[in-house]
Amino acid sequence: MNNSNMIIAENNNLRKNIIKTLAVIARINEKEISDTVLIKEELGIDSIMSLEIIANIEKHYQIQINEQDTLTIATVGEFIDYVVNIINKK
Amino acid sequence: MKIGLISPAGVTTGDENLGHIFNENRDLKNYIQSFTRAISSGLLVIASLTPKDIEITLIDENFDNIDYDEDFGLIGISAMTHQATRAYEIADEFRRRGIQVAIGGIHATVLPDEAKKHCDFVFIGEAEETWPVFIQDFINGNPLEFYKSERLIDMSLTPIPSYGLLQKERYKVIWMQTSRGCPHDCEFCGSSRVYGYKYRHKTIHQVIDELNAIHAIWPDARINFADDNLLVDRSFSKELFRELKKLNFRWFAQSDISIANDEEFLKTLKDAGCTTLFIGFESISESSLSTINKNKWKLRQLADYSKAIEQVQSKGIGVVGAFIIGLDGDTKDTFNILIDFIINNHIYTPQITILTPLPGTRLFERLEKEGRLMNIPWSHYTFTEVSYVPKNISPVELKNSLYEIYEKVYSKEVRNIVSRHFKKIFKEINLN
Repeated sequence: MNNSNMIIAENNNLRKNIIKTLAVIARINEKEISDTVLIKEELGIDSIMSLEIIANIEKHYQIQINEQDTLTIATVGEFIDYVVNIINKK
Repeated sequence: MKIGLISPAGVTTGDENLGHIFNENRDLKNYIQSFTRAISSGLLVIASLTPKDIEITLIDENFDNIDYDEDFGLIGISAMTHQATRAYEIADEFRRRGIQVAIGGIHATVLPDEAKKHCDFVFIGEAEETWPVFIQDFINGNPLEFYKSERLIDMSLTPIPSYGLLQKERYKVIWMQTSRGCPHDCEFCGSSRVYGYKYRHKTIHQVIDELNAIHAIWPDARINFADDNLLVDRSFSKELFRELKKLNFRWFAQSDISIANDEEFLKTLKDAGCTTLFIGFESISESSLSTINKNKWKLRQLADYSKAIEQVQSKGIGVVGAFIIGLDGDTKDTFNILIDFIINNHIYTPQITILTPLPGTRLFERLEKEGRLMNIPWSHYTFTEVSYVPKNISPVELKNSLYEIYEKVYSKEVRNIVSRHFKKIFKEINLN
């Protein structure tokens, strides 16, 4: 496996893990969660659930997420890209 | 025959400055929308009590425009006090077209004669036994003007609300009621006077059937329990939690601080999907708290407030801390102390309201006797506007104080501190 394939594989794993975290904390069936789904309006994830999700991701990946940055994030896909970007910059 | 059941639009606040804060803060906006974009289950129960051969159209004025020319044979309205002004406008408009109107709910229950001026039929108290009788009378052409529930109803006879009438995509938060009655008799609250002091609840099988009915429509719903205190009967609560966990619901409920001492119970709450818990602290002023309950129950809990908040929130459950300003013991200093209390205790969702003398309450009766009620429309009874003459400060000062408190406790700086506090808690809990 070359480097770019490894990165793609790692990113796919990350995506799966983030979706799993969303599903467990927000108590939503994983099948309902796709990149285009709206976090607040469609999944009904409120601010306290958001904090729990962020705290779990921060702890698991040893990163820092600024909640203010996440305020403009609307979809699951945008949130995953945001997290993946922080992890890849580590 | 077709019946239109109408939930009139409510008013969040008539104060423009406050409205701006409500709208700008994400946490606060989410919290307020969980009330304003939801519908109470009262009208849905009425629909379930109606014979199946009668067509029902549910109109939620927060989403729907009312078509006054639709071919309704009867209109049913349920309203709380802040909705009463609008409810009467709607009723008047239908009656001008010759369509008869029935009204129920807490406001009509406490002011039936006022409601009768705008409506043909008034329901006083719980409608589980009176609505079916009325429908039969209406069909037979001999309805009465008033239908009064003569006793507190047995909640095991309450049908599952007709959740299927709701448009699925509109509602992310579903309000559900498992019990009625509250033993506390707070001066400002009308609940115990309408529903009685005795705690009555549905059977666990009823509740399970209702949860399953909700789950069949909204598998990912958030349930907001409308009960004044969901957690009075611990063995009932534990059975309920088992079901909530099985269905994987997230939920909000109201309780009091007595649950905070039960560490294991709090863990079970979180495990069962409880995200936030509403607790009515009312005040942190001894002189103000001493006026609320006849038995001074709330005053006796004051020393434990901070500890209780910490105990609940340390389990990852956000406290919706409810405080009232403008109580007779309050001065301008009380509000500054309250701001510090809210900030120092990292209360997740502070809810501050202005004392509101709802008709039917002991407070209303006392202030009326003291000549302190202002003559303002019910639509201003939003809990954010002043409808009486406060004791130690002017009405304008009180109104401005509410704005100042919200501005401070929902400032970006304070909310960041609260967020960091909760992130730390969630990391410590380590649910993964």
